[in-house]
Amino acid sequence: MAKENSRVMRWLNERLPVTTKYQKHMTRYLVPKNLNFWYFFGVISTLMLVNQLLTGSWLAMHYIPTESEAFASIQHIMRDVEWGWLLRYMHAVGASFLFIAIYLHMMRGLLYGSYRKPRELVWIFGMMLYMLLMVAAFTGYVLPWGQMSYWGAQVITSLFTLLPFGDAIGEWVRGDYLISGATLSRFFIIHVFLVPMMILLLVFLHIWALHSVGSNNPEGIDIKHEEDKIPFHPYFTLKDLVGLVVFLLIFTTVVFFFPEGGGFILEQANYQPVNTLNMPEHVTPIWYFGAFYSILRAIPDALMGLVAMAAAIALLFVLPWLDRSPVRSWRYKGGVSRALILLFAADFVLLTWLGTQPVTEFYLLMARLATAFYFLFFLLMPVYSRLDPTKPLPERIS
Amino acid sequence: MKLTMLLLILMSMNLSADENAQLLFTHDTQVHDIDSVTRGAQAYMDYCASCHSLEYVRYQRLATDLTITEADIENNWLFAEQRLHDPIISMMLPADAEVAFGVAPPDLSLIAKTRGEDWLYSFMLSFYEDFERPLGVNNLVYKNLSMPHVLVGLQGQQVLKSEYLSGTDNDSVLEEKSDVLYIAQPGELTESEYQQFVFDLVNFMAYVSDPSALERKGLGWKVLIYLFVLLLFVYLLKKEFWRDID
Repeated sequence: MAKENSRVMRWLNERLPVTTKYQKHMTRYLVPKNLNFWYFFGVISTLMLVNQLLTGSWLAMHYIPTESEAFASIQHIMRDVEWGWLLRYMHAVGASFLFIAIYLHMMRGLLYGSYRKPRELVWIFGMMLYMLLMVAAFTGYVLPWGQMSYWGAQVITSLFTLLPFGDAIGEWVRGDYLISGATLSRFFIIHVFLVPMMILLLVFLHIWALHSVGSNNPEGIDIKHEEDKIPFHPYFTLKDLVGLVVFLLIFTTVVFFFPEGGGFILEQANYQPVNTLNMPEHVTPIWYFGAFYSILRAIPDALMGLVAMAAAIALLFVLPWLDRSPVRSWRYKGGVSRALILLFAADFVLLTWLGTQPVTEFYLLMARLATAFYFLFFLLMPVYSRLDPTKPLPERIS
Repeated sequence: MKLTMLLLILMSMNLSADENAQLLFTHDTQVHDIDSVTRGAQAYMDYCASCHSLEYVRYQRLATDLTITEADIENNWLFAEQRLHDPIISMMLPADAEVAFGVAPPDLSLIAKTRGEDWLYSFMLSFYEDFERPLGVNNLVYKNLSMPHVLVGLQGQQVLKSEYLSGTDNDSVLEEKSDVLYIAQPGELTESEYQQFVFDLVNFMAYVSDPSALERKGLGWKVLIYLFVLLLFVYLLKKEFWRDID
C-alpha cells in the first residue's frame, strides 16, 4: 500500500476518500479479539461468492441458453474448452460450498445472538441474501437442461399454481404454459445478471450495517474496555487468510477428486438431457434446498405445505424479535435453550437429508416430527428464552 | 470367477429396466489404465459405434488421451467424409434404427454417469437366449431390451436356467426360484477373456463420460501440496503478528 503522503495517494485522496475509508473499515476498525472459528464463514462466503462470479462469467462465455444447445454446450465446456472442466466443477462444487459456508455463518448467528439489537438489520439483510442465493441456485440448476433441471423446475413452479391467480402467476414465472425455452432464457438472465447484482448490493448493505455497529463476539457482551478490541487489519485479515486456505484445501480436494460429491453436488439424473415425456421416478431438489422441501412434503395439503414452507423461511426473518433472552450468547443461556439450539441444528440437518430422499412411510413420519420441532423451536422461543435462567455475564471477554 | 457359479436368487423380484435391477458384478473402474481404455476404444469402434454414437466425443481427443495415433484413427475409424475433429456419430440413421429395433440406439457419451459402471459391466455379462423376444435375446439387468447381443460371437451363447430349490425350515417348506446363467455354446473368447474384454469396454465408457478424470487427479495433488505449503507460511505469519495479543 502506498504511503499516505505519497504523490499518488495525495492525488487520489483529493478526489476520493481512499485513505479515510481504508482506515475506518480496515486498520482502525476495531473488532473483539476473542472471535473464534465460527467467525470465519462470512469471509469464506465472500470468497465462494467471488468464485461463483468468476467461474460463472467464464462459463457464460461458452454456455448457450437455448433448449436445443444448452446440454450440449455444457459437454462442450467439459471436453473442448481449455480448462472448461475445471470451471464447471469449481462452479458446481462452489455452489454447494457456498451454501455450507452460509449455513455455518447463520449457525454462528444463532449461537452468539448476532441477530440481537443493535444488529437486527445485519440479520435481515443476511436473510434477504439467503433468499437471493436460493433464487440464484434454483435458476442456475435449470441451465444445464438435464432431467432434474427440467423436472425440478416443473415441480417448484407448479407450486405457484396453488396460489390465488396461480395459473397466471405460473405463466408469468415460466414465460410459457409449461417449462420451455422461454423459461430457460429468462432464468439465464436472472441467474447471470439480475440476482448477482442484487446480491452484490445486499452484501454491501450487510457489511455497512455491521460496520455501523461493530461485531458481536462469542461472549455476547458489549465490550467496554478498548484493549479487548484490535484492528481488523492486520489481525483478522491474517487470521481469516489462514481460515481461507484451510477451506480452500477442502474445496480443492472435492473439486479435483470428488466433484460429483457422491451424487449430491452433480446429480446422476442430470446427466440425461431433458425428456419432457419421461419424469424421473424421484424428483428431489439439490441437498441445500432439502430442509424446506421436507417441510413442504410433510404437510398433507399442497397449499398448506406451501404456506408452511414460506412460514419456515419467514420465521427466520423475525428471529431477532423472538429471542427474549436477557443474554445474547448461548454460553450464558440456560440448559434448556442450549439443548434446543443443538437440537435445532440436528433437526435442520435431518430435514435437509430427508428432502433428498424418496418418501417412505417412516421418512414421512420423521419429516413431520422434524417439521413440528422446527416450528416449535421458533414459536415457543419468546416463552422459553425469557423463562430459562441465564448465567451471570462476565465483565470482560477474557 | 466362473459365470456359471453365479447364483441369482430371484425371490419373486422383477428385474425391470431401472434401479431395482440386482447387479451381478461390480466394476473396478481404472480410467488411468490407458492400455485398458485404449483396448476398450478399439472394442467400441469394432462392435458398438455402428449403432451407438458418442456425440460429445471427438476422434482427435482419443488420439490425444489414449495410445492411438491420428493416422490409425484416420485409416481405420473415420467413415466417409468424417474428419479427425468430428464427433463420433454412428452411420445408422435414427429413423432407420427405430424401424429396425423399435427404438433408436441411445447415445453413450454419458452412459457411465447415468447408469454407472457396475450396471454397464453387469449388463454386458447378462445377455441370455430368449426365443420369446424378437431378436432372440434378453438381458437380466435390462428386461425386454431391444438391443441384440452384439458380442454373442465373443461370449458364446448364454442360457438362463431356472431351478427350483426347496428345503424345510422347521415346519414350513420353502421354495426358492434361482436362475443360473451359463454358456451353452462357447464363443471365440474364454469366459475370463470375455470378462476382460467387457472390463476394458466399460473402462472406456467411464473415460468417455468424463475425460477430465485423466488429468484432474494429478493436478489435484499439485494444488493440494501448494496449498499446504501456503498454509504453513500463512499460519506462521498470523502467529507472528498475533504475538502481541495475549
